[in-house]
Amino acid sequence: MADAGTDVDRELVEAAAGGSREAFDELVRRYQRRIFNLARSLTSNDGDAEDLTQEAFVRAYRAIKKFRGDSTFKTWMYSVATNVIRAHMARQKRRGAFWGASLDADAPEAPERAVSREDVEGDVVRRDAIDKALAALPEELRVAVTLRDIHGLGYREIAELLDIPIGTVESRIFRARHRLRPLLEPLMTRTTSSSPGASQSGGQSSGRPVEAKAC
Amino acid sequence: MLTCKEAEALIARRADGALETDDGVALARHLRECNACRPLAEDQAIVVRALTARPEANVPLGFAGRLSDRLDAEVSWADMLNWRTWTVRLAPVAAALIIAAAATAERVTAADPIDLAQVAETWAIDPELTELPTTALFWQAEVSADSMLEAVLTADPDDPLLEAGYDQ
Repeated sequence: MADAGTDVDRELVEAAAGGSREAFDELVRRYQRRIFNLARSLTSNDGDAEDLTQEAFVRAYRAIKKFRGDSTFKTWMYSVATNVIRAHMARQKRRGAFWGASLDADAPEAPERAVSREDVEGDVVRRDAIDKALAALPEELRVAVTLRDIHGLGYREIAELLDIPIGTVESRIFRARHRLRPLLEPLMTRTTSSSPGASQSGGQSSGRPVEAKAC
Repeated sequence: MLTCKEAEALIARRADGALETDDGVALARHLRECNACRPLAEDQAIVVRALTARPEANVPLGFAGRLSDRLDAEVSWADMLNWRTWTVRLAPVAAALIIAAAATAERVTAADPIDLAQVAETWAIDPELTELPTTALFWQAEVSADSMLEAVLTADPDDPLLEAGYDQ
């Protein structure tokens, strides 16, 4: 069922497809923060995030007349942005492979050093710590878990957006969280110590690299 | 009962509140009996809490202006690709070119048509030769296909007619 935001989006998209620049600017205002944060959480770099956000909106502007409304504008915009960001990450990976990882200044820190307990104070540092932990994941896991847990997209939306089966989405999200668990340990200790039920799970899980195994 | 592999998808969904009721019952039964999956389920929920609490970054100052500049440039490009825009903008240029061409054009008369038979005759028949070269067959009005094929296959590369032909 469409919510009010979706209805507003639909009207703005129709106006933008009809040539209204003001309507497209309004769509930008509504989504720029989300798309910027998507790019930021997937690249761990403010400069890249701005460039990629701009590129995503430019591509959306070029293609807005072709948007058929099969999905919501939100899903479509996330799809455009995800494609732009993944293409960028693939280029970065090729460049890193060509020049050698040691020469790649944008490469994330080693997972063991991604977060330290002293670094988790403050929003900026906390956000940076999460983004660095995400950067340690393989791209396919990083994208899926970011879209689900940070941006709140549904499993079906993610499957549609990435053009993969929904079971694959579930599996990637499960594996991503499993690998993030030890990387985010300092943050989670802080989070769980302040949340109800933390004593039940926090102490038991803290710091251990859990291996998934069959019963 | 669910296997652990089957339970993974449900554990992931339970952690972020996207589990259907029926699946929830099946998963609860599995978790009661599986010591390996219980901690995995707890860990999933903890990671979800940490990620959903990620503080949002603000869009950099001046972002809207920089994007607007790029979109303006896109509009310009779109104009350039529009043939109607080109038609209007290039109309004065086209008119100027036509006027310039008309002012500088000289009257050109066509050359007389070339009589190919005459050219061939003066070219191929050398009074010094005691017999016609093989390739002279090519100029004859009536020649069988076999003779033509033989001429092609046995043509002498040093044939003066061929050399003359290459030089033309």
